[in-house]
Amino acid sequence: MSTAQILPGTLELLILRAVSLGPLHGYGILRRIEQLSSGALTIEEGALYPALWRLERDGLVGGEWGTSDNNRKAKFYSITRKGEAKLGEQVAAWDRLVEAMGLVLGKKEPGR
Amino acid sequence: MRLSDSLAAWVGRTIGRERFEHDMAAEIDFHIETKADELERRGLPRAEALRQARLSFGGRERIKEEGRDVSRYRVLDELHANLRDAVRGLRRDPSFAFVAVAVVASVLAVNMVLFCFLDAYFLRPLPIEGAKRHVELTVRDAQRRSQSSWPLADAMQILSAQSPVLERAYLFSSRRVLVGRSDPLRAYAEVVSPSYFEHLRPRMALGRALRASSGEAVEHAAMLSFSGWKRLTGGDPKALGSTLAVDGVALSVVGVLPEGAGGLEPVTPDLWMLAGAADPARVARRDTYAVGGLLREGVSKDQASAALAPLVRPLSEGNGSKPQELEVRLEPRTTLLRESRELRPLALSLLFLFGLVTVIAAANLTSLHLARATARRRSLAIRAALGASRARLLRHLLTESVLLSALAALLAWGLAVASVAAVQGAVFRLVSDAGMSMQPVRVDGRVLLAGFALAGLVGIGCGLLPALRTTRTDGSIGLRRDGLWFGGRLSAGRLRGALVVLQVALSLPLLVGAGVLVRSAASATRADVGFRLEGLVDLRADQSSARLLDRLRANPKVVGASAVSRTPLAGPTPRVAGMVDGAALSLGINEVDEQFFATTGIALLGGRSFLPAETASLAPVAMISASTARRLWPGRSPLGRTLALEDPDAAGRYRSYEVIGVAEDVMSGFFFEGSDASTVYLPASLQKGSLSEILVRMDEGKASGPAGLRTSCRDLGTYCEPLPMRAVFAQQRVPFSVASLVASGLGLLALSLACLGLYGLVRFAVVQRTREFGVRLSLGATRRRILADVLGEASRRVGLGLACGLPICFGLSKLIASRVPIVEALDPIPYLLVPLLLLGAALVASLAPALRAAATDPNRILREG
Repeated sequence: MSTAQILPGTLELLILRAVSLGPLHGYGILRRIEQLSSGALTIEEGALYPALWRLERDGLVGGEWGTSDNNRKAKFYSITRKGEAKLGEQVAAWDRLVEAMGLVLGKKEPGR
Repeated sequence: MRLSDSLAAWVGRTIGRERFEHDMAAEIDFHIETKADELERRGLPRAEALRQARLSFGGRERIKEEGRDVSRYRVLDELHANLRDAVRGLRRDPSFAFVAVAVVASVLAVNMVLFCFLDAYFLRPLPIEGAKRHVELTVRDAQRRSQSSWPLADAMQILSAQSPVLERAYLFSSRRVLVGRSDPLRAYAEVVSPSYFEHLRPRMALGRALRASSGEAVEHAAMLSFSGWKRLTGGDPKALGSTLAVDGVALSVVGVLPEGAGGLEPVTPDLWMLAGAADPARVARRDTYAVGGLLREGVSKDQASAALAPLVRPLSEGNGSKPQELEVRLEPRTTLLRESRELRPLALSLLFLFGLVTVIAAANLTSLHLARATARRRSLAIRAALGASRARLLRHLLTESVLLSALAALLAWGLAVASVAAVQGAVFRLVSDAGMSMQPVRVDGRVLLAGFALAGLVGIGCGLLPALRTTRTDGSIGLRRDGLWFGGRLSAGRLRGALVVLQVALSLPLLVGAGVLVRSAASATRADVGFRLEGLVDLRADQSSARLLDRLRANPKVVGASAVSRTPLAGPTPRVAGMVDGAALSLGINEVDEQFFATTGIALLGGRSFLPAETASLAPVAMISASTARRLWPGRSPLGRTLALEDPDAAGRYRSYEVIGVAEDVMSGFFFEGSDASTVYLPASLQKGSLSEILVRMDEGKASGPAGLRTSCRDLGTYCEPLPMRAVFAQQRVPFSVASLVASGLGLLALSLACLGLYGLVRFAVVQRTREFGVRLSLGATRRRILADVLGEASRRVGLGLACGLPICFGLSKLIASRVPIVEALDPIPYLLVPLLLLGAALVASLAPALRAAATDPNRILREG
């Protein structure tokens, strides 16, 4: 399976989804997304952080310093209640988009 | 800017900026190290692993920059950059910075000083607990005349019954007293009930406050204010326990207040004493007491007034109104001065004058910003071309305005602190000439806050218009030398010209007003009151008897003494309905004895004065003032004619009087109201008629003054409080002198601002037109011609400003003169001198830049192309 660039605007959705499964540091989030997409989605490493900080500023994720597996100081992010609500909304919106795109591109029959 | 950098670092540390940066770096480091660990595990050497990890991470600084964009610190960064640029810009143009700060600071300082006074007297709550509930008792009759004080016994009765609605009610009265026996000093005393100090709870410098005594006896004690302590005891630290003879009653000093502490009134007395401790003979008759206190929690003032009404109505006079028509009111007073009908016009006109100066300064500042904005169009255009948004450019420009305002506010605060004592001294000296000291005024945090608020308003307001126009996104930005304004109809130069016209136009009324007031105040000191002030004394005795009058006349220092129903300068004379040749009119009357004209020195212009027989029998004869004669019988002799006056005791019945003499006009009311419109003198004597006051003319050569008169009174068991008419007159002059002092100060400030504005305008125009002058000179124009051109243009602007300002002046003068008759609205001297002064000052201000224009070197201009 070849890798694909993520669609613009979906990075935040991916991050929220990744941290919704448990606290992760930035590098861990990258790994988790790769895992979940079976390596299909790759994220430009540096680009992750500004998005992460924006989520933190908006209170969708919370960050806390802790110790990583390799025994280094790392900042672990976890989803907040506000973040969970946002994730729900964005997943629903994504579903609608996929369905609509499918219809337009003729991949799906309506109602099926 | 090392200072601004270290300041920024300090601010950053205080609000967690350093931590934010550190965390960003640590997170990125962790990412790269972890990735490198992984690569190392796959077999790469550490150094190579790190290199690849860094490569795949991307631009570290770019990521951090994006992180800062996300953070709230971005705003601070921009502010820092803007501040740094503003400081640099101002350092590059120090004359602009200096002038702008000076303009704003000067006008802020005067406004701060004004605010100090308004705050101290009108805004700051009284220094007592529950000041918001403080009320004072007044009674108004059907004619809306009010009574706010009662004789001691009545006031005590009100006080004893008020407890359900009022808390800690107190009695209050103020009076002049003589302190000491052999060589007494005049002093100002407040006579109060002990409950007065339950409110104040003064922090004492020495001793204690006055307090209620047990049983019948009233404490014969005095508490001194700081100024009273200095004046009456010479600041004696051992003054406690010493005895002061206050109006002949021995009071022991029990306490001294610290400096700056006063009571609940704007005037700080020299001493406080308890009601009942004063001379009992006097207390019974003359003095009346106001009643004040706090409304009890939960009681409204209407409820409290209603509760007090049945008690207060029978105790009040009402001037013929029926008791049920009397309206009992508890008036709130939460500050030293109550906002009142009398004070409102004064406060409003003060605010108007200060507002005028502020507008002039704002016009000046806007003009400065315009000039600077025009000069900076190129640099702004470069910034815009490099991608700065309009909002960012605006913030950039406004940072400079705000920085200037903040500097100005700090400077103004310093100026206010330095000058408030001097201003207060000057204003208070006028009051203390009248024998009183005012509560002190302080420049504190409230004043600084108000100053900063005004500074922000003026700074941003004046910077905004130029900034908005300069940053307007049009293609020609920066290409033209002089921007166009208001959709291209007005060039910046013309707009600045208009602002100078505005400044001149507004300075004119200030200066003319100041001129009119100064001249009125000066003429007021020489004002012809119609009688000789020097040596004339209002005796102010409790009981005026013929015996007292005889005794006074026997005193070798007394030249003359007269009984009268109304002393001059004590307020307008009462008016009665009159009938002359069938026409009804209202006339002021004054009843006097046969010595009145000789004692006061009011000149007789025709006919004769009253004879002793006429005053003794209340004969149907009258004397009239010159203006009354002109009004009733213009162009004809009034002597021998008759006028009818309504009998005050029987409405509708008239009594006829034959006019036997005409006297010079006098001022019986406030001197600035001018001479009385009409006065009819009727004969009366102490034995018969309603005379109650005694006027005494002292021999001016014998210096002992009115003190000896007290002895004459005391010998007859009467109390008197002689007051020289000169002092009455001086007291009346106070508001006038204060007004002319304030107006002159503001006028001078306005003049300097207008000249500064003009100087700036001319200088800027000259710099902009240097090329033109060079070309004209090389084409044969003379230097004299260039000089005349520049000066001519400046004087045209001033002329236009004067033309716009004169109608404002006329309107204002008319308005003032309609209220204050002694002010001569169209006094020609200020109207001639002030425009000349303005024009002269303006020419002087434009002379230096005009000379510079004339000195342009045409060769250099042509060489430079």
